[in-house]
Amino acid sequence: MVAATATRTMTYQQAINEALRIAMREDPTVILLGEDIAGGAAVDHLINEDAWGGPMGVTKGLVQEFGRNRVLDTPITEAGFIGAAVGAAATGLRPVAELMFVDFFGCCMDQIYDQGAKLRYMFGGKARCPLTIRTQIGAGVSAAGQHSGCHYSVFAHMPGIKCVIPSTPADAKGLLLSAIRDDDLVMFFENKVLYGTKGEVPEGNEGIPLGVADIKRSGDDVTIVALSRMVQQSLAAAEILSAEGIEVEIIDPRTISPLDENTILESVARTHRLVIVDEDNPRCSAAADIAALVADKGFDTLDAPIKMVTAPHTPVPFSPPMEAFYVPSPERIADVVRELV
Amino acid sequence: MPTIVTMPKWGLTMTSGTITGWSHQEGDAVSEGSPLLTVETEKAVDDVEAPASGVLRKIVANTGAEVPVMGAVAVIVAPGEDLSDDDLATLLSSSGPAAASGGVAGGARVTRERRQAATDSGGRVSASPAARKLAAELGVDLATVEASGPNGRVTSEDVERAAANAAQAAAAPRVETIALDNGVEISALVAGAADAPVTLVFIHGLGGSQSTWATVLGNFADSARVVALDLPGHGASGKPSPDEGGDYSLPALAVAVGEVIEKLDLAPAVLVGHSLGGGTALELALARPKLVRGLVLVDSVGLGAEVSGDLLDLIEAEPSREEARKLLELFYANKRLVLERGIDDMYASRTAPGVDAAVKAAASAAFSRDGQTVRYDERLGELTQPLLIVWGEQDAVIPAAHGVSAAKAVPRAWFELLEGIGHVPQIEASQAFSDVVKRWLATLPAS
Repeated sequence: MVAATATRTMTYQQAINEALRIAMREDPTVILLGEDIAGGAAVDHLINEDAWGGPMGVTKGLVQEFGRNRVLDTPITEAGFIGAAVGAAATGLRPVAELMFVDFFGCCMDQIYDQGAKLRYMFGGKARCPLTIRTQIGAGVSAAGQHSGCHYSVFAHMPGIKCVIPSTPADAKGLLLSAIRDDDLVMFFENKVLYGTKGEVPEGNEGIPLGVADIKRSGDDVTIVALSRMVQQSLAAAEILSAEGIEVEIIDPRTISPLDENTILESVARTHRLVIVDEDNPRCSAAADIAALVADKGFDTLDAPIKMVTAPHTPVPFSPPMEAFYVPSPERIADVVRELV
Repeated sequence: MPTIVTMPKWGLTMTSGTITGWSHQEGDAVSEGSPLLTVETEKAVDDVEAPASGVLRKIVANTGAEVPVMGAVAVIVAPGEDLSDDDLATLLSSSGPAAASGGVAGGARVTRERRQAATDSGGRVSASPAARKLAAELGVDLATVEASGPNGRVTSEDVERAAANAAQAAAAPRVETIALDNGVEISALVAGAADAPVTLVFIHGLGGSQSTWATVLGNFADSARVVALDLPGHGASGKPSPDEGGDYSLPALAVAVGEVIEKLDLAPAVLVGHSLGGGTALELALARPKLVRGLVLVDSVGLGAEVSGDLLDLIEAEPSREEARKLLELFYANKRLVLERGIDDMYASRTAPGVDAAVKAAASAAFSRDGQTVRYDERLGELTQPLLIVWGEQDAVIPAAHGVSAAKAVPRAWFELLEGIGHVPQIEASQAFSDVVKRWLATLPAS
């Protein structure tokens, strides 16, 4: 037995803040840049005020410890500061940029995919891009169509970008530490609805390797692969189903690029049934990708059609009832699971 | 604690028994091991002993009732123990054949009702990919599988269940007829899985049939493939007349057994031979060692000179009920086993067409008035197979001393002497006999 690691209860948001602090303490080349991440619009005499720390307060307190040279407030110019971050990464720093909402990626996509993601490849390994871009995803707070998308599937489609989608405080801390220490461009997708969720988080500075799935619940009847907040929705569905005698296994890939194929295939080989739950839009998506993986490599293990429970192929609606309908619910997940057994 | 008395399973094929009488009434004191009731089956009438001491609280099945194997027939309570009628009802409802077999299989998950699998207009069965793959691997025809999946789809679980049912059916006891090269048909009771780790071929003695093993086969069929055959001239096998070339010498009987082993693809098999069947097994093990993986000799001929003169007298006499009774009395040390029903059976089998001539021919080929004429005791050193020798200490037909000297000649052999038991340990001490054979089987090297 490995000695149990000491843990502390903290929120998803606090876990991210702690990971940033650990990474900045251990490596002086780690810098943060983004809109309002320090707060006070770089007014020196406000540095000791309880600055904003980004719109959700995730970077709160870091400017006080590490100063304005390492925690940089930027103008509202995604193309500018993401481009600066790519350049800083290519020339020796280890920046962590904050793209406030993933929906804004259109403003800086050239910097991300045509520059950052291709650097190492196009320079034959002589250049690298140890850049982490943190960004918010997710519907559920009535932030309307331009602040509520998931869109991680867009980035998983592109070679040279690692995509991390933590669903718990512990995963958020461990995965962010590994993302920052990674020498490639990593997109780190934080679900805004999860910021206030609490969980036990290991003390210390250990990272969680990228590309290793986590089985969030064991079961023998149906495999559910769930991404981001859909892990929590699926866990709620599992409680409903368990009362009916159906035990689902919930796999959280945690990263969709790279993807831990074996854990998914091994689980489906046992349960013979697969449901993928994803809040992202369904076409050409991570969910469709995982379905294709199992249809290809796990065909002979299937006893039922592969099912996807996803958002519809529309932007996120503003109306709260419509938004609630848009996001896969535990009831919807349970209904689909019931169809398979 | 109350003890439920259940219908025993005496033979591999026994499914139920009829109660022919109770020797105690409700409220009587009973002691463990004493006869409590008599039960009649297709093959035998025998006592069922009380499994515990105490008071016969309740007779559940009265005289004349037919009760399935493992079904409750009575309840015994400890002296002074109080068992209300309600408690009794609860106790009995939790017993019975269904409860004994583990009840309903599966977990809590509600499964769909099984039905005929859906097919498309071209007749293609609706089956999941996993079901198709498994069906191909296990050789299951999807069209024969009941579907439990949504929309009548066959799932891998359905295929597994169908394969298990098929395997169970294949392992169920059945009688097979094997035609030998000389045209004689051999009847054999076959049971157990074809892929079991060991195959046992049981060979009965002079004048017997496969029914001599009825009480022990069930102890082996779960873990072994078991084959109990009728030798030529015996039971349901062909009985060519000795005047028309019927050969009942030990070498000829061994050839017949060898052919059965080959035609049923049983090699290498463990031979379990009783009396004349033991001599047959020895002959085959020496003549064709590759067919024989191990040897169990039970009160066997061929290991010494002596043989009961009374036996020879009885065989030479014309068959009669009196002769049948005397044969049984000679065979069993426990005379309580000499039942009217058994005498009737013995008389019936002795007088079946062709049997008497065959038995007389087999006896004269193996014995003379000077004793046994076919001997293997000098050749035991040639045996290469593992050897178990079992003997009833009170054997009045062939003395147990033959077993003792054979065991001395083959130091690696196991020897089991059953105290107070006569010539037929598999009937007189079926459990002890089965136990020792099982312990010995566990020591066999893998084939």
